[in-house]
Amino acid sequence: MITTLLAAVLAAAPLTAAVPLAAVPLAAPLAIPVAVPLAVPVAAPRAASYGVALAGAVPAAAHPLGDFSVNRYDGLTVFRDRVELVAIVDSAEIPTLQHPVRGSLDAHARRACGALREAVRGEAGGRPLAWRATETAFGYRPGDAGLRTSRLTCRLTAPLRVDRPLTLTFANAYRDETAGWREITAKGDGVRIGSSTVPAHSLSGELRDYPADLLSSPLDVRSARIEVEPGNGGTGAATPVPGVDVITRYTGLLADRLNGLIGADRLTVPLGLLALLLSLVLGAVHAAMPGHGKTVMAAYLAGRRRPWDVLAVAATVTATHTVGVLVLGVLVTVMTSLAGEAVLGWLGVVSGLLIALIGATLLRTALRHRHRHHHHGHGPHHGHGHGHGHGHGHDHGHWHGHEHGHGHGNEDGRGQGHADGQRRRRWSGGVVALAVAGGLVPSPSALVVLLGAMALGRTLFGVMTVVCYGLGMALTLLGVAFVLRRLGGLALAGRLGRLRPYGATMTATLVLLVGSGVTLRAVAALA
Amino acid sequence: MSRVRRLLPLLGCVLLGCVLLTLYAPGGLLRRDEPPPGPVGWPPYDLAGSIEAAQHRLRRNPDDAAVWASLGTMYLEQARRTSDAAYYGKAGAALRRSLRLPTGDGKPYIDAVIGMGALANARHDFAAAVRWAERARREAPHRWALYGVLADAYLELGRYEQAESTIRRMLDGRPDLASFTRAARLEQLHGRIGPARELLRRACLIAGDPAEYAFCQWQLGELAWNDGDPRAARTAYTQALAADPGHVPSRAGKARAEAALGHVKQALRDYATAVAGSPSYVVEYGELLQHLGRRATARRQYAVFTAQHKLLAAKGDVDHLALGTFEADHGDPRSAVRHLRAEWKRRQSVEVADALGWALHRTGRHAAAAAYAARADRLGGRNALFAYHRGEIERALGHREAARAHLSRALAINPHFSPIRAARARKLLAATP
Repeated sequence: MITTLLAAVLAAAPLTAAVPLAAVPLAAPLAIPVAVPLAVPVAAPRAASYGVALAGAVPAAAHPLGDFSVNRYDGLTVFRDRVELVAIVDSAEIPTLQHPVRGSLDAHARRACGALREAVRGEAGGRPLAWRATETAFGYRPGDAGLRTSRLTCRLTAPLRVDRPLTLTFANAYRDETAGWREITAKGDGVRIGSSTVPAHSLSGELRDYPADLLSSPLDVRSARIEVEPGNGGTGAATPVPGVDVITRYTGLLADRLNGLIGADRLTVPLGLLALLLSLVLGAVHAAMPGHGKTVMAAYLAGRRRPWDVLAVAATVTATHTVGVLVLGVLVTVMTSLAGEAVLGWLGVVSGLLIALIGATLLRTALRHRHRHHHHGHGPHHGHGHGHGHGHGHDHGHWHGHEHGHGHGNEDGRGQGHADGQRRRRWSGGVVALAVAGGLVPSPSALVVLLGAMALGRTLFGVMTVVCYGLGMALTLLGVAFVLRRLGGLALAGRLGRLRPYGATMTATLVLLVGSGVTLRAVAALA
Repeated sequence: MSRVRRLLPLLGCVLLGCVLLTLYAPGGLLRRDEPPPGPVGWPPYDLAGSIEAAQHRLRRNPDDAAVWASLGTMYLEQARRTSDAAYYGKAGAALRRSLRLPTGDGKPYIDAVIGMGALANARHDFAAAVRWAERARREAPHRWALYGVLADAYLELGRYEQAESTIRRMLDGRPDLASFTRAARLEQLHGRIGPARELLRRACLIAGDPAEYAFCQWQLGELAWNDGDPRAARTAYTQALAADPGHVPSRAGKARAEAALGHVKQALRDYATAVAGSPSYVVEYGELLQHLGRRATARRQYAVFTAQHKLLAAKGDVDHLALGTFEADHGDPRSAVRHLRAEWKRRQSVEVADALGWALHRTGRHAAAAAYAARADRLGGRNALFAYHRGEIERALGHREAARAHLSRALAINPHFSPIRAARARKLLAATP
């Protein structure tokens, strides 16, 4: 009964619905696999019954695909001016015997790499790549039962100019008729890999250490599609920021390391702490990257006086980001059809629009308040602030609640002049809204980490990592806010003090501009 | 306090926005494009995809006996499709894992028991397969898959009456691909080619996916080949390869048929592809090469055979039938007799009887050989190789007439049954008037 119910529940999950297995445990699969197989190995009488189908027990860990597999690894590295390929062919005992070496090993390596070059297809922007072998090597290694296996390594290179975004396709058909592990990786050196159908790092340690886990199938990746773009040139509406690609690269490395930690076989306490620390650092770096509206907030915070607001902002960013990542993570897990990238793009648009809206509202409020400088409509505004979004009505209620909740602010607020108090009141709600906008776009790396942890059944740990990520973001914001506040204090004390009455308008305009920029950038990325 | 209350609607709006975006954004749920219509024909049974889904599910819930059993069975199917033995180990591990897990009634999950039987068959441990299937029958007599396991084991053990009653029960209970192909096998063993062909035709009509269809067509091809019709065989093999280009047995069958039809180059190409996919056909390939006078290349194929069995032996698996058959023809006949006697102790099928008889003949014990050769023919199957072996043995015993009869019967059944042996049979017939 329990299994039946469970099966029903599982079958209902869209993840598996597409597969006949869904109804599994009870009916479907056995009908098919058992239907046919048994007659095969021993089979109908053949002309001469030499069938050697009795194939064997658990193979030694050497090759995941048995003694007659030909295993392939293709590692692509894209440079600004060329693409390099390290192609490794690890042949098990039988194929090594089937393809004996004639002449010297070096000559054999050259011949084999020539054949491999013919079997490799690469295209960049629709034009075929012209591969040239630069280095070849062939060697034997001891295998099972006194036999030997062999390993062929070919380094190929093809000229390529990455001066604009390019689509690279790659396929290898070398000795495709034989079963085997087939793996492709792609990474960039001096160029950015936009999106790629293959990972950057080898799962098998370049065919040296095949995962032999019961719940993983041998890789069978025979082609790849990679988007590359120049590393230091911006695209679309993005503002070129020098050094960004270096940061991207290193954070990419950090994220990979983090993923590796979370996927570790045994998660010890030091490893876990290290992973959390890494996610903190990643979050901090992520917040420092441009284009997320966070810098705006920091500028905005510079106008704030009380540390409590800053803390509220930090908490909001952390909370929004965490919730966003969690919600998206759950959605992506439950619905395979969901394209995570598209959602991220649209969230970017929403985030930008939110910032722009806040900017516009602030601008309106600032202008109005500049006109009605001496009005202090405390009472009338008090009530109707509630149901509204983040308009001007909002501010007053907000301010009030805040003051009551934390006594210390009271004397501080009241002790200052009208103008000051008003300015603060105007901004309080907007700060939180901005924080929401800043945390709204889940960082892809946090999402990847969460999904990885969930796949391994370490959901709680994944959530902790994401929280740390958000905290890291908040820390950066706090740092920037602190620095800007100090600077702002100095500036205001000096000549810029004259500009003080216009400060609110200027900040509001800045927020509006950045919001529009973020929106445009996100839209451009979507298109 | 009120700050929090003011935040709530905002957060609510944001969350609502996320949900709406998820639903309506391009790439979102409700705007999902219809999948492009695939090639018309079979519903896509995606074995690799199903395996992945099961693995994924087990990663989240490692105590699901049903999914472990299903995964083990699918690994077994993968082993069959890729002719890759490495999957046997994985299948066994997954099935045993399922057996260890408690189910509601305290008994192991029944599909895992059946799967263990199927695995035992695949590893040629037919006695164990019978034990597993009987155990499954005691617990769930209406699970049809178990009768497939049982029928295969009986057929290989040479217990043909029991095989027949099991297959009859299968046909009565569930006339499907599994029962049709096994019934066809039995008919063929009894030499009733027509009914066997009819059964296979029907099986091909109800094949569920390309791999199953390839399997049926391959069986049809084998039937036609063994009946001496290489043209029909080649057609069937070609159809099988059209459905599943990686079907190694059909590739080897096509090579055999091409050679019979005189297309030697094509035959060698097909053989080369087949032995790259699975070394099961190296001896056949080697014999064709030897017949063509390319002895060095032939020897290399035989070396591959030897190496493969060394590897199997290193893992504790010895295929006595294949080794004995090979040794009798291309190695040491005395060791062939040793292997085949061991196999005969385990099972008394017609194939083992024929191989043992031939090995005994090669060591000079013709009288004993004749007895086994007669047992190989006891079902009345039309097997050219068996007939040729009998002819040679009778000839060694000095029975001229019997020898002539068996040799011409071999050539009548299938004039192309083996390049080397058919040529020798013709020569002997011409020499003995």
